[in-house]
Amino acid sequence: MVRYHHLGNLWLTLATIGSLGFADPAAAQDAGRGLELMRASEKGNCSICHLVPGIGLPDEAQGNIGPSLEGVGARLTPAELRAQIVDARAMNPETIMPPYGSIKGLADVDKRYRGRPILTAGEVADIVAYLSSLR
Amino acid sequence: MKRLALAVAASLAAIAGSAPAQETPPVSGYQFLLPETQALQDDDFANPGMLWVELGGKLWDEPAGNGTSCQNCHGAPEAMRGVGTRYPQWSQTEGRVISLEQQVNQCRAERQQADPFGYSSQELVSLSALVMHQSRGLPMSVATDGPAASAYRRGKAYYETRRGQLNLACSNCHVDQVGSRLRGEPISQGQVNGFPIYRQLWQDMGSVGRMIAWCNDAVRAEPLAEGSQMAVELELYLRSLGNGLAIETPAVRR
Ligand code: HEC
Ligand code: HEC
Ligand code: HEC
Repeated sequence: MVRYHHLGNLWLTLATIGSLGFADPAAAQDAGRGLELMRASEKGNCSICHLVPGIGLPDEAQGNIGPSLEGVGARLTPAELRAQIVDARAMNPETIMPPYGSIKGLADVDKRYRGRPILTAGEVADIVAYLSSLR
Repeated sequence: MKRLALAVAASLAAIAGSAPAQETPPVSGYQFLLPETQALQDDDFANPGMLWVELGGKLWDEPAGNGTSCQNCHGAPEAMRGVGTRYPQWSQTEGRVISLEQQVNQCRAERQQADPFGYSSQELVSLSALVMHQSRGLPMSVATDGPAASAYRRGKAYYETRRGQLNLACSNCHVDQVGSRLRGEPISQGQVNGFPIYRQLWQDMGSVGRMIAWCNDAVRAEPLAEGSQMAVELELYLRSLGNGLAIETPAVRR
């Protein structure tokens, strides 16, 4: 466990340095932060369902409920990625993927989280930046 | 993982073969465990849950309140064989469905004139484990008809309703995603035939109520208090999903 976290941090540091130098300005500046948000259990926690390249966990410690996000930046445009993360129900009403940027129709939310979505618009943009870099 | 998936598929096929045209045959969480965790459960000397069963045995003989013990009225714990298969069950005196833990507390309050145990106390989970353990190997068979029918319906509705900031119903994982991996963890049917269980993650024994609270927390939903009527009715529904499965108490889970 601890070992993976170290690996993850190392990777994150490299990714952040990389994004400073090479990021596409149109895709926002914070791909490194996006990856961090995808990993954080209080935030995206995306790898409980998806294989997320670069997250620093072995494949068998990541979920397989959703499709692997390998190469997703080549499959989907930034706008499509954003829509998927903000409210996956718009694409698939029966989806199991949580609506990260919407609180529409939520019931019984614990009071610690009530009244706000999991991610802010800025945080979604950071994640879109990271996913767009996966080609 | 592949081996696990195969084992689950094989046991599903075996059950499907013996019971004609059942849509989802119940499969114990045991089938989703790694072999070393199964071995821990199978060996009474290594199974940590047996410590709670033993503590339950001590409490069984201990006079409380008015000086009576469980043993005075019920005899040896073995006399409880079969009782655990029926709970939660309709209580005529309470006019509602009650859990085994609540039945024990009822005896404690009314027949021993002692303070009831806290719902998640070590004492109550131990007595519950002791009583359930007497039914090990017997098929769960809770009643969902008659006076229990409306509680069953409410439990089912709760199970199938999306909730929390993650907007997930119990059924989204334990019906739709059985066999998939959530992080590194294979998702089982969420059966309760092993409860109370020793959960390695908790390093502790927990009741069905505690497990419900854990899964609720995971989807960031309002917690359902252990021992609340809704939690007991949800437990009734969960047990009914496993009617026919052999009781494993004390089960060991990850
Ligand atoms: C509870 C499981 C779950 C979680 C958590 C989850 N997803 Fe998903 N995701 C899915 C599923 C399932 C799909 C497939 C589409 C569907 O069923 O709606 C999907 C689809 C996607 C897609 C489209 C992939 C493609 O190739 O079309 C993207 C992008 C995506 N998710 C990103 C994310 C991100 C980013 C996060 C974290 C912020 C996340 N997901 C968290 C379950 C999940
Ligand atoms: C003074 C006698 C007395 C004592 C002491 C007593 N009980 Fe009971 N118990 C009863 C009676 C009588 C019933 C059945 C009537 C009822 O359901 O209330 C019963 C019912 C039960 C049942 C349900 C049995 C069934 O078939 O559904 C359980 C379980 C139980 N007791 C456990 C305990 C435990 C554990 C203790 C000790 C903490 C205990 N009892 C102490 C008299 C007692
Ligand atoms: C996001 C997916 C998810 C949701 C939603 C969920 N659970 Fe679970 N649950 C799990 C995982 C993962 C485990 C541990 C592995 C396993 O046994 O499936 C688990 C375990 C359990 C267990 C223990 C099973 C055993 O064999 O000991 C029970 C009981 C359970 N869940 C009930 C529920 C109930 C009731 C709800 C709804 C209130 C619920 N779960 C919602 C993922 C989920």
